[in-house]
Amino acid sequence: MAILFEYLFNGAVLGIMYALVAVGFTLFFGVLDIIKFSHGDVLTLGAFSGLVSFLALQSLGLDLPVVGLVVVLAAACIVTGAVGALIGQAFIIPMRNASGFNILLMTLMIGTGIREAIRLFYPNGANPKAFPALLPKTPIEIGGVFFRLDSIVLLGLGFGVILLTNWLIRHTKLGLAIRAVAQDGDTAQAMGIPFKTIVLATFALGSALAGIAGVMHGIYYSEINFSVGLLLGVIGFSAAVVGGLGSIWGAIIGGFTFAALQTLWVVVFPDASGYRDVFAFTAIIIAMTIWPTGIIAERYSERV
Amino acid sequence: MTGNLETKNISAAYGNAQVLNGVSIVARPGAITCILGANGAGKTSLIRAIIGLLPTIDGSVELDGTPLSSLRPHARVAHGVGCVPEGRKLFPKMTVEENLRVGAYLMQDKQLIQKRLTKVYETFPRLAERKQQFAGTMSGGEQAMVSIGRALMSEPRILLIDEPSLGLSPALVRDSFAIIRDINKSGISILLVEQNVRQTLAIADYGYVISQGKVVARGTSEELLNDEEMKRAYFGIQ
Repeated sequence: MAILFEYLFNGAVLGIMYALVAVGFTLFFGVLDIIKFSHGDVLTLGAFSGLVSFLALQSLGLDLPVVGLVVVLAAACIVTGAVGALIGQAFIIPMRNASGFNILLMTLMIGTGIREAIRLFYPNGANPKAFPALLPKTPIEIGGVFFRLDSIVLLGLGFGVILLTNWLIRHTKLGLAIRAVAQDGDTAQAMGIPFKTIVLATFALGSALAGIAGVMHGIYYSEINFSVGLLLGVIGFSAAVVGGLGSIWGAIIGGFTFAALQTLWVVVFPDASGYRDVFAFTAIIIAMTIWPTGIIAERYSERV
Repeated sequence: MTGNLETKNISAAYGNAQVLNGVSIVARPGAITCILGANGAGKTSLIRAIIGLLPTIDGSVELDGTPLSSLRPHARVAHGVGCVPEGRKLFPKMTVEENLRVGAYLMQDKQLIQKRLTKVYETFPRLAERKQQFAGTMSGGEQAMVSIGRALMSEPRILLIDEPSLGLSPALVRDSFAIIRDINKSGISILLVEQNVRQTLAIADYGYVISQGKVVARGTSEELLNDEEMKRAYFGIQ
């Protein structure tokens, strides 16, 4: 019974990371009807920026517990936010009247470029890198169940970021503009909303969420590598599609659904845990044939 | 008095299909100017070109002498162009109040935004009752009020109104036209695009008739009512 709770808890930590990635996909699709496949590799870039900023802190002797985490998260968010907006500005906006397939292919190539650049230019980039333990891994016992302290903080951080994003979209002027652009871009412009600025802000926001997910992933597994974003990107994209592309809550539900499927497999077949992704993706394929428009279909949901 | 909008010889195309062919009109300060024409004549294209959503390939748009042609749509709104688009185009999954707040996006002063909101709610008490309702679930008449209210939030000098009668019952069309006249009396110039000739000319001071992307007739409302060219543009009488 205790072990079951541990599985559930670890599943929730994974779920919140997937949800953060999926929300980015959903935001990009919301404002511009595009799939940005470079998203996963932007996440990798975030994790590596976090690592570099930590090494810099370390060399300065400033790698204090809380400061380290804050600086690493800030570095990841700034780099991913800037790169996400830059990809939008330089590639996606100029191409926005092109076919969706062209943008999909283009962003896939941009992602490959980022991934290969990390592999080739980061010192010894082809090998996994140890990620600093920014949070203590102290086991904490609650009612006979052991939880790692870092996982508890990661879960809280993930939920905090998701709630903050939701608040931003629902209750701020920027959020109002993002929703207006998502619902009707032309009319939003005719009402005085600067379309391009809002689209780029959305790219920065969604990409920064991936940066946070990248750091969380690094802390959780204690290592990162140049292709960490590849699988996380595909999982995040699947989660967004399963939840219903365009809906934020759908993306969150999708992220947790994927983690729940993986966890279910590991609970039932603990000796074959390597097959958890095979099982989860198979289940997603079956779910898509039953609900082709996702769990929260766009017509029922509030877009973005 | 401000709100003098001029288009000078503007042309625009969707791909190879030319939809505007050298259109020059003047919407005078403090007046209601109407653009009449049959379906597909280019009326909505003209509105989209003025607001900047349809790129022009020739000609210029000026508001009170300021050239707008090189500006993006949001910057044109900042210069005082307000828009009530064809089919009202509300944000269906936003509340009435959020729709109105989008209209005030360019305003920074929160007190001023609140003042404008109060004024819109005074003009349309029905919206005050329904401010938390999703715009997409409202009736056509209520949506028309939200769309007009939203455009007024930015305090435009000229208001472009595209087919306010579309999809409304005759009683609601009468109400809409009365509201348009009231807005005009409050000092805002109006450029009104319509198919509904008699009711439009009844409130307009001046009008243009468009056919196949060209101005084919112009004049005061009285002149247009008896204009042969207009009858031809509308009813295809040769």
